Amino acid sequence: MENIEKKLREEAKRLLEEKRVDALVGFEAGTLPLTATPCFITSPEEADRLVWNAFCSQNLAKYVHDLISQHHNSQKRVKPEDRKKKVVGVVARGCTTRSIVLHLQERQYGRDEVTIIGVPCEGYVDRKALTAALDGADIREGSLTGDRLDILTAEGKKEIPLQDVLADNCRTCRFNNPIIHDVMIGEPAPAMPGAVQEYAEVEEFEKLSTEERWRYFTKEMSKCIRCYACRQACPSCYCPTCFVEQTQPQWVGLGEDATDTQVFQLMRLFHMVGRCVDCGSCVSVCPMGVDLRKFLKKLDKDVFDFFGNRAGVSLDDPPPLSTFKEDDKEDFIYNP
Amino acid sequence: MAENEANKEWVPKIVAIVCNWCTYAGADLAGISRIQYPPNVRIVRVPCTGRINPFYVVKALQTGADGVLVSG
Amino acid sequence: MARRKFATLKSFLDYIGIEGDRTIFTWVSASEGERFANVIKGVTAKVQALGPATKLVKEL
Repeated sequence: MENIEKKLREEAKRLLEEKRVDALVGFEAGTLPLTATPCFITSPEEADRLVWNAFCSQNLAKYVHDLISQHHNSQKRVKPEDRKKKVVGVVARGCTTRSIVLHLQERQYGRDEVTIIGVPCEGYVDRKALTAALDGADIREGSLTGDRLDILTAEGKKEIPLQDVLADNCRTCRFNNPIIHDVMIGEPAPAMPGAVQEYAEVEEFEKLSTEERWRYFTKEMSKCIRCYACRQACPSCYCPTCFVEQTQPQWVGLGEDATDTQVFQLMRLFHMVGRCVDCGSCVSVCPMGVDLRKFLKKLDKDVFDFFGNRAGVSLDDPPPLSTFKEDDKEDFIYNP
Repeated sequence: MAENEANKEWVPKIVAIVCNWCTYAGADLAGISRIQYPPNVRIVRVPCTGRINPFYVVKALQTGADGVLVSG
Repeated sequence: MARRKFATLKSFLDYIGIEGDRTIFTWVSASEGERFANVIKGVTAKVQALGPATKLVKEL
């Protein structure tokens, strides 16, 4: 890991010095122990701030899209010949590159507007699982050595194996190495052992009765406080005006009616058909711990089962809902 | 009057979201040919089935439809 | 494309616990008045069997 970090800083410095990128999105050490926070770097001297470890949880493709679309907007009223090009660099793991591929498929920006520094990934720490493993105690100091977390809390020292606190989406991750990259740092990481049973949870849930599934859905959605953190963190959620904020027509009521929350979540989830890269950002930012992944994974499974498509794994694939084949699934069509 | 309402058998409210060129014309033909069918459907005409946002279906269910039919 | 959209929608609504028979998708062409009547009959019977909707319904 230290080695990767060192190479990453060198590479970032080089790209910024050669002016190959105008801004670089990466992670820096967080203000609390065992955290990392996204940072934006524009000069080579700042490259030493970059870190890469198991605490980098967000999907940085969100910021890439934000930066580039802001730049596009700022260039709208400039004459075409005077328009400036801006290149955004990003430190990207497997899921981040999948999101970028998705943006490219959806024509959000050009491949030449983004420079991808690929890094191998062996999963990140789920903050909620870590807090649960420590029984909610505050972390005073902590360090990661190999596969072991050494943590000092008010109650004393504690050792936690990294495997125990990995995020669920990382355990079953199929694409932990970058799909596309301009510069690759380090050797590709070994495949995650859980990838073969990525849909085990969904299959189990499918076996429940309709009533049980509905009860689970309503229970999970009753936790939701509609802070929209999931939407803010999601790299696939980039509409300039989200349907929840639209007033003409008003799609979803803004009150505390339970069905409005359910409809909001249902529709946000459904917007992820064939677009969810399972980066776990929505789950990790959710302050109420809503089990969104169970539903997102189902959409992913359906798209793979019906159309044989996985989100953001190839630049040549069109988005699954914008194309069709003659022999697509049609057993759901009602025939009187 | 109220008693009559209570005695009435419950009938489902169904929203049919139909394509202008296919099913809407089909429904028109059914009407012209005087084919009998249950009067529980409220037809919403859209320019094409591709025009239908999945939200229409969910919104219909939320605002009190017992069933939704999408037909192209 | 519409077929793909509604294949996933139906499957997803069923997954979260809304009975599959509440959302029905079909094709009727402009020359199939007879089929349209049959579809409506079939759909009404299916929904009648399920009873009034209670899930996701907003109390106004």
